[in-house]
Amino acid sequence: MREPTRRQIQALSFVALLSPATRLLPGAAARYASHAGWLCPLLAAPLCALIALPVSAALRSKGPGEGLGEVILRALPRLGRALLALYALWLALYAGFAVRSAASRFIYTIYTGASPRPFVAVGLGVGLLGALGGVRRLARAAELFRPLLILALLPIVGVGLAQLDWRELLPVSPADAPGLALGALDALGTVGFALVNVPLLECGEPIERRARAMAAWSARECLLLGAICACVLGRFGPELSAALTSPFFALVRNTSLFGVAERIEALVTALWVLSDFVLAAFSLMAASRLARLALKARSRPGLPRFLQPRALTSLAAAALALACALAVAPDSRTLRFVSDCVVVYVNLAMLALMLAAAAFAARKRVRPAGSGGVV
Amino acid sequence: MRRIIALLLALALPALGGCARSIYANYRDIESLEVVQALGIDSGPGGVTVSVATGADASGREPLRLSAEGASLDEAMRALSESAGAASLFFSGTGAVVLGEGAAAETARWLDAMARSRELRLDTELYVLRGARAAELVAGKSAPEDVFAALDALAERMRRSGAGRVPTCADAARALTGSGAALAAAIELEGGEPVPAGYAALVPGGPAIFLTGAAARGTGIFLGGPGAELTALPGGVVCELAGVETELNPVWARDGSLARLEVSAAARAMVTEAPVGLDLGSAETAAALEGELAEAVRGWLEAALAACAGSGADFLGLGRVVETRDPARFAALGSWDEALSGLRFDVSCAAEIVNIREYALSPFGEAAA
Repeated sequence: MREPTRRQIQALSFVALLSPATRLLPGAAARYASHAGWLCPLLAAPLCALIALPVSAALRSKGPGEGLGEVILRALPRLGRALLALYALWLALYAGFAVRSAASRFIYTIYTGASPRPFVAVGLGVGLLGALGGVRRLARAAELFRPLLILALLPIVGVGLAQLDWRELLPVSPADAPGLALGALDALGTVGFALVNVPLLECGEPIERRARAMAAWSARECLLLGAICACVLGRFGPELSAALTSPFFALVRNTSLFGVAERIEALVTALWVLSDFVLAAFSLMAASRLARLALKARSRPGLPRFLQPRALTSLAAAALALACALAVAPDSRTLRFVSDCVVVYVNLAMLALMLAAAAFAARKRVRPAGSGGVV
Repeated sequence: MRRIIALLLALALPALGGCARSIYANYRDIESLEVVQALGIDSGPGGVTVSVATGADASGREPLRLSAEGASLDEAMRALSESAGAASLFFSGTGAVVLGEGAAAETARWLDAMARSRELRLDTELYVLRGARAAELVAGKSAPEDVFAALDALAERMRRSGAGRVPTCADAARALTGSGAALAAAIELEGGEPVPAGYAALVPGGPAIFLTGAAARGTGIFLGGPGAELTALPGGVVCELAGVETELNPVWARDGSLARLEVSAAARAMVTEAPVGLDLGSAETAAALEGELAEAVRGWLEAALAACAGSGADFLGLGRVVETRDPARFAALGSWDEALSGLRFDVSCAAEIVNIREYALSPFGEAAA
């Protein structure tokens, strides 16, 4: 079977999702929906299933080695190029933002007062190496990382659920509806990022019953995110959760494993690097792939590897990401503002754009002329 | 290229070991580490006094007891670290935070500092020392040899057979930000040893309200249930509580105001001692005992509710219950503090003797006669 397989695609989606979801959702859910915040990811689950539908339908007409980008480009030859170029730019900038957020987490949990620059440089350097390595390698790496991250997450959620004050998860009233809708939108953007963007690199064997598989996957993820939000809200209450910079990591800091391990935040922070790496590498790789599609850049035999379009576009994406990471937020307050008020909505707008294009491509069903995707 | 990358990564490994001179900036030699187990906070005109007690370790080192002053909690902690000499104080293992009675008036300040602190954690048990400074318990001359062990044993006693569990700083922070008042375990010093003294209700900017006796027992019930506490009933029978469940039901007036709060409780208990000759198996005796127990539990609940309403500090989280039951009406109430002050409570209690230890009718009855 040609990789990445369904299992690998889901692993890649899970690992890439974990870092932004744990950073963003518990705080946003508490801010928007107060005690009912834990419902936000659960309410997003049906919407995620709806996202999976047009993407899966579009991918039915993909050729061997192709991803969602190629399908869109075939259906929208001119507009598609502009869209993919814009999306490539967005993904490169997002990679920078993701790496900057990861640096902020390190500073928050372990290296208090440190400059984010070394973390950004190392994160992007390693992400670039991953992006140059190919989709299959990244997917295999994600498949290896997933059990490690689940192993770290399970005790946090287990102990969190055992220690939470269930009274903090109520009341849920009709008055919470607007807040719940906003919180669900945040959750939709976070899970939708994986649902829409991972197919850009989904160049393996077509996944059987893809829409159903991805809807089931997103339902599981939303359930997990709902449990994480419940743990945070139940431990700190909505007021404190909304005020904390990183409520999930505050929960991790305040979790002891019954005398087995008193402090686990360093371990968890270290393991979350795997998610940061996959997210950065994935974003750069997808940005590079879309840029090549938009520029119609094909690999040229005879040119050294580092001069091939793939290496050059990856480098350009990394340079853009670096500029974004250094410029986006000089301090944690600005980073929080950018994260909560800018990236969330830009992400949703870009997802909507991509979904519209995918839905159009699914309707047009333009089959490949016989050639494969970009190399 | 791959080999070069592999070589570079291999060369980088020594820097990632987490030991001295690695990139890990927070490295500390474990040999010189002194793990702080109990931390006391006192406030005064000079600022903050922080006292710490470390535990005895396997190498036979004596526990360290230190106090230092500073303008802020962090400054006092740094001053402590400096006064520790060669020892390196490790605050992240702190298991108990004790506030002196004076410092309890600034609970919000301490909890805020702990929520921001990179070393202290919120999942630490919180005590308020009544009538004394925390330094006396943690680092005083007549302090227990192992302060944390003494507090830990006290917490265990409170949970198993006392008024209820000991709230953590996270519980207090959650309650303070949500309901505007929080609870901590109150303790007193008896010959230098800490003993339970009920609960302390903490209100931002005000002194702690100490809840003892019936009010403490009632508070323990609202906090999640008392331990297997012994209760002597008027007839001379001694019961051990096996659990008390409460239900709160707000009753709304036609004008949208809160008419009263109905509190119903169901207590279960086991008879452990009874006057010889008393036939506990008879229906009349059982009914009388259950009536006496119900009356006792009702008294505890009423005492706790009266303290809560009288102080205007919702340390029992009653507002949350009312809000959960009817969010729209609660929102229309306006100020909950005002509503709480004038709130009428209607407390009812049922009790059940679920077990009688060994026998219903004592075989020593005839001998006693």
